[in-house]
Amino acid sequence: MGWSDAVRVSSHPASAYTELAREPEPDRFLELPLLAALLLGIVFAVADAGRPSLRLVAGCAVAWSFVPALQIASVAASWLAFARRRLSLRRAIHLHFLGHLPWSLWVIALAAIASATAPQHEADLWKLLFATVAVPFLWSRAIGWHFFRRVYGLGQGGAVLASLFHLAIVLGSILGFFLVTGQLGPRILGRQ
Amino acid sequence: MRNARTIAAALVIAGVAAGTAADRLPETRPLSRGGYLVLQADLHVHSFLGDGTLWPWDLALEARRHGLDAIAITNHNQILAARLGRWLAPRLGGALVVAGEEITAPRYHLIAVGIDRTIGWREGPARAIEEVHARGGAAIAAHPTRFFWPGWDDAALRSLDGAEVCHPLTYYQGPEHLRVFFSRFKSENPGGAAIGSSDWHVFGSLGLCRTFVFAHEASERGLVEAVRSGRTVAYDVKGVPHGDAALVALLGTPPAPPIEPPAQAFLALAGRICALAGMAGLCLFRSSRRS
Repeated sequence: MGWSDAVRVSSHPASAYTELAREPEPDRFLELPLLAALLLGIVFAVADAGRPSLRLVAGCAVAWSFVPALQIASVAASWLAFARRRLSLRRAIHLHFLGHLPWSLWVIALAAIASATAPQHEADLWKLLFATVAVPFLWSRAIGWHFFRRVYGLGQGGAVLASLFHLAIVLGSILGFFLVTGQLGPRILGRQ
Repeated sequence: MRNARTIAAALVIAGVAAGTAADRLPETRPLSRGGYLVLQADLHVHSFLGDGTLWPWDLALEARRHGLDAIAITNHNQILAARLGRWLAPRLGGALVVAGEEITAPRYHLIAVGIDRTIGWREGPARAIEEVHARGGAAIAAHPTRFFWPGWDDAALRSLDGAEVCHPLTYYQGPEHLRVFFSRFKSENPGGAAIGSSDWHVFGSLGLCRTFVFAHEASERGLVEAVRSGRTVAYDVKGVPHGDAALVALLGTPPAPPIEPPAQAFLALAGRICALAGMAGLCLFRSSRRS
């Protein structure tokens, strides 16, 4: 039994990414995005209904697969801008998804707590969510920094630029989600 | 443990199998009181294709598990998911789905239930309510906390059909804001309906606040007619009933949501522990073949 590459990347991102960037091309570069979709399916089924039934897991995984799809799009955009001559897109996607462990563990923990929380205390769940979300966010930003430095081979300035570019895509996607789902438009545009 | 990842994958499969075995719906039937069908309804629910996390048809099935006879899917400023849910839910054995919209404007949020197309948010509340009525629907003030009070003028309150007096917000803010608004609404519109809604997006609060609707028939039309006629009862967070006193008396002690049989509850618990532990294992451990 050994730790996964995701654990190596999360605990020692600089050395892990340096080593992993030298390894052969991954055979199944969509394995980790698909695992992320399955994780979202299970997490939402458990948090919402308290049971990971096939119906709920499949439904939630399909519904929320736009999240890993957007992640792939964001990697593709940064790869095009910064690293298309250095490594393949398949490898960039695989190595980038290895850095998702902080978010994965956070959503698993949150789903476990949510499924054990009475609905009357849902406000406490939101407090917990907002109180802890900085941990996976900052941790994954640190991993992302090393991804851009070691995998894309960028200098400090380039890594700052790539990090900001990636962050803009992620935050833009979140903004886009709330625009598409109809509640942000009136706040931005409306007077009524 | 030679291959922790294989064990993790087996745990995920076992978890989903247990969760699927626990996925049985209770037999529910609307109450009957004084010649009315008393529909337990959650008239403010968000689904996927909006900012809710479950598909509309899954919500209709989950609603039945929570003892609800009807839900209104009310995504922000759109009714696509609601129409999809309304079409699919009866085919899958889910609760009655009423097409709705949360008309989301900067200064007021208005639930429109029983409408056939999207209603814009740019008009004031009185004009929006007029349009809801023209489309055959009922109009309900959504979570009218102090922030939203300035958006509601007396003319709007007079044409409004109902106001939320129970909402999950009140579990930590207290019921005062919604009670004050409801009193103001009732003084302008004495026949107005008391509404309890969960404003569900995520987690397990579907049906936490609900409305007992005294309808002549278990249909979208029957539900909308009852709300527009003010034939509802809702209990606020302190257990105080709101609505016509005769209907409160007719309802008697409100029925508790169905309790899951112990075997089913155990399977659900085992399922979520296995599935979450398995997913954590898949993230943390590598296959022994690769080490």
